[in-house]
Amino acid sequence: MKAVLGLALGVLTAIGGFVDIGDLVTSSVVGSRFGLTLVWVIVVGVVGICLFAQMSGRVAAVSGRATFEIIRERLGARVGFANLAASFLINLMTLTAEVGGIALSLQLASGLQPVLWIPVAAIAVWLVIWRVKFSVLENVTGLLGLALVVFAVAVFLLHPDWAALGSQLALRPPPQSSESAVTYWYFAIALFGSAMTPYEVFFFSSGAIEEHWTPKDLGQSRVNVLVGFPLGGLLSISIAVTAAVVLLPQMIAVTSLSQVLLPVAQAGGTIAVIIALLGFVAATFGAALETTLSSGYSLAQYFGWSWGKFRRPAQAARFHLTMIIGLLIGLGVLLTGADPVQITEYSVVFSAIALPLTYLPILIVANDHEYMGDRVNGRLTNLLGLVFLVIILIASIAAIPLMILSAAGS
Amino acid sequence: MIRAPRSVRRRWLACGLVAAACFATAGCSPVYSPSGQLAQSASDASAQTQTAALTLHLVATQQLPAPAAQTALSDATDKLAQDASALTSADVSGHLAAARGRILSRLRTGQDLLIQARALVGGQAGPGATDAVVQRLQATAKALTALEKQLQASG
Repeated sequence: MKAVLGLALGVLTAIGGFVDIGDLVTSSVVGSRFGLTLVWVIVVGVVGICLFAQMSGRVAAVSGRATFEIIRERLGARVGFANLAASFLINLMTLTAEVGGIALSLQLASGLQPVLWIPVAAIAVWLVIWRVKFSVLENVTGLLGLALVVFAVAVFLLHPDWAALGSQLALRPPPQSSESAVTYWYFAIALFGSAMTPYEVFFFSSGAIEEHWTPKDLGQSRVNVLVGFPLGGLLSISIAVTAAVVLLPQMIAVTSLSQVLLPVAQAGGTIAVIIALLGFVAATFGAALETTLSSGYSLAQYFGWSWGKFRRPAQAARFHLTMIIGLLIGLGVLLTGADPVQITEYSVVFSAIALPLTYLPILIVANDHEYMGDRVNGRLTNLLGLVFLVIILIASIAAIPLMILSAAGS
Repeated sequence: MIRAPRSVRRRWLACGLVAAACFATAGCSPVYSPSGQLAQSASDASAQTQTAALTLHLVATQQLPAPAAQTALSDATDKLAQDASALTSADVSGHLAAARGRILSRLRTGQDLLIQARALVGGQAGPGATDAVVQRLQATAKALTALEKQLQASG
């Protein structure tokens, strides 16, 4: 019974923890501008993140070491540094966007300006990381994030024209959408980047060490990923559908978090709005914790410092200092008046650019018998891994030209 | 003088050529043309005005709490101000200058209506006024969309 409850908790946490500010904003922007013609990208992105998350979780559980430690050891300091630099900078951008997302969500709930909430959000993130146990922070934010299921309920409450939505899924653009091909592909890459954000993989891998996984836990880890992440992806699709049903016909292209909320209000009124706001805060707060921890994990694992929440802060001082500095940088950027939604939009595209540097090393390490013994990737996993590396490479190369040609999707 | 290895120089050259090609083709992209930029501003302003109309309607039907509504209207106000600033600084002449004038005029109407909408959400006006403001916001959004289409048609 305890094992079943543990499994259920893991899956629910994976669902609730899947969506972050990148998914909230990008899914809604895409739904409001392209209808459901880009939903296929979310599906591809979810398959990709499932593939690489279970790969990095397996590496951690089998070798007992986290991804960055092995990447540096196996591929050398130079490749390891390229991997670190790309992941760390993207992570810092994502961290800034998530802290800004918490402030915007609290503004929606209170009406107070986000500049008042930004320091509160950053301090709250630091306090939770400092004081709360890893399993508690992961489970509580993940479970509260399930409040975003309200978007899936809203889809049905809105009584959409299912035939029209089906037609959009078959890549027939809705009549209200007059976007160019360049803009379409720019947002395809943004959506792909938001689904495959590197921090998710590093957090998953380091979390496996924090929770002392062994090869015995691989079954549960696989269920968490293969059931939880796709269901989390359904939440992203629901957000896109609500925007496609309510905002697209009124030609409202989403540019702020407040607009993401309007379809839920139309579907379920004040109660639904309150539940959605709880989901916004939980999703952004959970992701802010994960990105803050990931900044500490990546640097500490590369340089071989003592790390982990399972150690007392005094025993992992540089790990904690890195996280504090990361939060202060994010705080500083946001206090200049930078728009968190714009930071989010850029972070998902730059994330797509850096993806090969993150995922290629994981694929190499997961095939190394020295670390993995007989638990190296199977043929199917390797085939899928190679297919995704090609997709990732194309997305990475095309991102900057498409950004310039589409004026960042405007 | 220390020179970079040939392979490194080749890589930098390739990156430079790709970047140059992107910037060169970006010049031909419609989003960077003056009429494209005006059309973009009209489209953005229309979306913000329509957002305000939807927000006000949801408040009137008691589906959206006041803090969320005030935030949505505040966001729309800020974006409209950015659009107005972009339009004012756009370097256009001839028929495009006339088009800019028409868009700015509608945009200012939208800004005035947003002030009224925020007052309504703040409870500083009678409930009967809400429907009228919603309709005027929708009409303004429609007019801005029409101007956007005209600009797109004229290229």
